[in-house]
Amino acid sequence: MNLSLLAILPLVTAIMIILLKGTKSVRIISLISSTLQLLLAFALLYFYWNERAMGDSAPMLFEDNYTWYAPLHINYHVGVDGISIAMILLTAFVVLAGVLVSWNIGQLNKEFFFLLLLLSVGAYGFFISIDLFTLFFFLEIAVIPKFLLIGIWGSGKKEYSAMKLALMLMAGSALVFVGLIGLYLNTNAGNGQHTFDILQIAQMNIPLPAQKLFFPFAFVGFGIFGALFPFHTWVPDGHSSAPTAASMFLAGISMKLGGYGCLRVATYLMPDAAHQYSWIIIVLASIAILYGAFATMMQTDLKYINAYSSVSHCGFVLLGIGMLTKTAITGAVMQMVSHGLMTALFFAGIGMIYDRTHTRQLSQLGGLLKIMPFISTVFVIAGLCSLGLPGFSGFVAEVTVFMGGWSRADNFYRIATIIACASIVVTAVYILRAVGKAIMGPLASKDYSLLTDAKWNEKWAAALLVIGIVAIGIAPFWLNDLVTPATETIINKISAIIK
Amino acid sequence: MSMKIPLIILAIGTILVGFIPFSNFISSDGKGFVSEMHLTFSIVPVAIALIGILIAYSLYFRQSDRPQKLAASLGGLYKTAHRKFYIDEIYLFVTKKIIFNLVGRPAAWIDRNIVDGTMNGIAWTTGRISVLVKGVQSGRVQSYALYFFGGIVVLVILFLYVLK
Repeated sequence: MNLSLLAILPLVTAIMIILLKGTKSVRIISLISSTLQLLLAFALLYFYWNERAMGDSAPMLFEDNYTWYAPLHINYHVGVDGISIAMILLTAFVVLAGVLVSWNIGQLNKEFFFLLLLLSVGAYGFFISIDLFTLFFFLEIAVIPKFLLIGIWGSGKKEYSAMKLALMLMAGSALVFVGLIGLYLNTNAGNGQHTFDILQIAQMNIPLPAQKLFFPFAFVGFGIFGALFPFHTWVPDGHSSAPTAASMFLAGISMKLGGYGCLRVATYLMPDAAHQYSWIIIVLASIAILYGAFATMMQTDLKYINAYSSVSHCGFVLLGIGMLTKTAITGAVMQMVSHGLMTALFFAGIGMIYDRTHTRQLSQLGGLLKIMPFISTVFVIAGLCSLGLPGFSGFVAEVTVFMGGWSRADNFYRIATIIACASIVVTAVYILRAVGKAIMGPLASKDYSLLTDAKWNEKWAAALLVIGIVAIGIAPFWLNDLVTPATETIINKISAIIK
Repeated sequence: MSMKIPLIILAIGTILVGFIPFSNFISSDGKGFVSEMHLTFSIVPVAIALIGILIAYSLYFRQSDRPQKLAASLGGLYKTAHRKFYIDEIYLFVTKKIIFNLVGRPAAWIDRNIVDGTMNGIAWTTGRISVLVKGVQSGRVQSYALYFFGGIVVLVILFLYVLK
């Protein structure tokens, strides 16, 4: 299967959209394209299982390698393993849901869909890249559209938020770039040649001083994308100012670029440094988890609630990576997928409520279940998944991280795990409070009784994400089986060092 | 009658549910958990329940003023039990007063003002430095000539007196 299709399809659609005229055709083309992307992602999953079933145990499947710029050994090199496929599936789900939710976007709808699709080009390209330069290239493609999406279609102090998000992510990219170049200059592919190729670098042993110098650049750089404390402050402002679909893309896909980069680039390629710095990662992740949860408790704006809770939930991803055990890293990947789906659903639900009531303030909401049962149910499902109720994906992912963390028989790791577990109680407090205020109780305003429930596009978007959440929640083994061989490759490199 | 039917169904279920080997379904190898009968743990709870039923029967089966008398004689103990040992009150106090005010509020404040403030401070400092420095690029040739000669003077002093 040709992986590049995943990036080419949204790119071609984006170009088509620019050339098209009329709101209707733009929407329909975007919908067709994002549906095809989802089908393509499932086809990829199918072909991947087939290859693996036939005994192909190569670390990356469906590789394509073209020379891009020979003097600097820059290649367009793509390939996938289980982790990438999990992320690609997540992207496909969120893109389709995002397009559906944006169906009735009023102003500049052509430009809006163009940017959404461009963002998905960046995300797909990032997840299939196994050349560091190509990976970085796609990471940058995914940053620029966010600035415009928030700055143009946002709400509230959108210019401030767009600028803040773009500057902080650019700073993250700059750090990543330093890390990648440092890594590149310390590779030795024979005859003093350097390489950007992830598979080749994984076979080498990067000198320890270089690892110790460049790991922080790469990890913190990607960490900024993945809401690493204390560089998470773009998250609340960025998410709450963004239009619904952009919030979904931001939290659902963009933040995962960070987690994936921390794992695939920083941890995988510089395992000695990852091992030495793991305690710092764990400390920062534990702070993010608990402190993010407490900060969420005091928020009064629904979007701020979900944005801060994303800081807390993405802490689980970094905690799982920092624990450096197979189970914990598998849990981290599961949490990325789970949080991506759940937070997209949450933002979709909040967007639907905001479109109708024109407020996101908890104090002005109440009793919505009576007049919009579908939207309210979506909201409750997202909330229950967020607080880790069994049956939904959040529970599976978090428990896997806890198990992996606890398996490190050392008080430090166990205390971190206990702190992370404790955050679930805090999560329950803010989720149940938000649900109780907004959904239950008496109707907050008489005008609300005139509001209508979800339209077809909103129903499909929500249903899609709920299917994903429940599929992982009820039958987590398929995701586990998909991800585990890939985490094994990463962990084998690390466990050789730990022992 | 209509209220009794669900109760009857539930009562039957309650009795029979123990015979379903649930533990077989949740273990990874399909074998149930082996549990042993501990007489102490079986007799004591049942005995306590039976005593409770007996007390309730003697107090409430026929209408009398005995419950009121008993409640009055127990005083504070009765009130505490009646208010569920104040568990809800304690819980609400801990969450609403202590956790919300002493943990949540400071966390939210620190995040907005200190953590985010630092980020905004970095941005502000960058902006200020830019304002201070941008005057150098004025486009006025006279200024450039002045910087040029100033530079020469500094270099001359450097070479003649400092690095000699």
